[in-house]
Amino acid sequence: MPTFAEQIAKHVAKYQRQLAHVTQGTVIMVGKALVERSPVGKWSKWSEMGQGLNPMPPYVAGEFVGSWAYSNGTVGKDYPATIDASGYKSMERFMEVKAAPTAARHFLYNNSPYAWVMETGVHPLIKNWRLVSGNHPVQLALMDSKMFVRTAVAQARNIS
Amino acid sequence: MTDEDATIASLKIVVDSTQLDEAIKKLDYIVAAVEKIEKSICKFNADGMPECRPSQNKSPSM
Repeated sequence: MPTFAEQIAKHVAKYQRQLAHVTQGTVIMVGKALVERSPVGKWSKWSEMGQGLNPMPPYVAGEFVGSWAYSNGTVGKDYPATIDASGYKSMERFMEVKAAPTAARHFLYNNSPYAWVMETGVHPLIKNWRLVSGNHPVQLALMDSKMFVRTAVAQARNIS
Repeated sequence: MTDEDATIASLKIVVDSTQLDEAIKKLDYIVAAVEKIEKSICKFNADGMPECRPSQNKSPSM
């Protein structure tokens, strides 16, 4: 029969797994939302004016959605620059949270040179430059953030 | 912000779970405390009942 201490340790290990799932589940759900909301544009389909104001370096379809990355503690400065319109490579990087400390600052970031343009629709170097309607993948992902946390908590309750 | 900053600044979301650190430390503390109690004062028998050694610090009236 396990000792009392062993029984307590077993319960505590379960609570720690549950806490870890809340963090990991939230990060992964937020990441999935980012990828789903990241545009994959085809430059060839841009308007003539849009092509004329093409941001530098030129936008490559699938580069933005494929270049999301994960870090904890501090935001990463790397730029994986993956051309992956499916976003699978980005999702793979978000899975790194499973090996991260539960209690930390978890960053999901995109260092592509025109990332802010994709978010805001405004080019920092060209006055009055705008994407059609803008995309706001970060803003849209954050709109569901409370639901992601609630979902992760509900899932964690089922962990034994 | 310089032009260069504007083009390379990270687009990022932060999921901050640092407040869980205290909860995790408390859980670890509970485990350590129970182990210590069990080793130094009480053992739990097969029925789950505590079998404690008499305290070393008896009061004068006892």
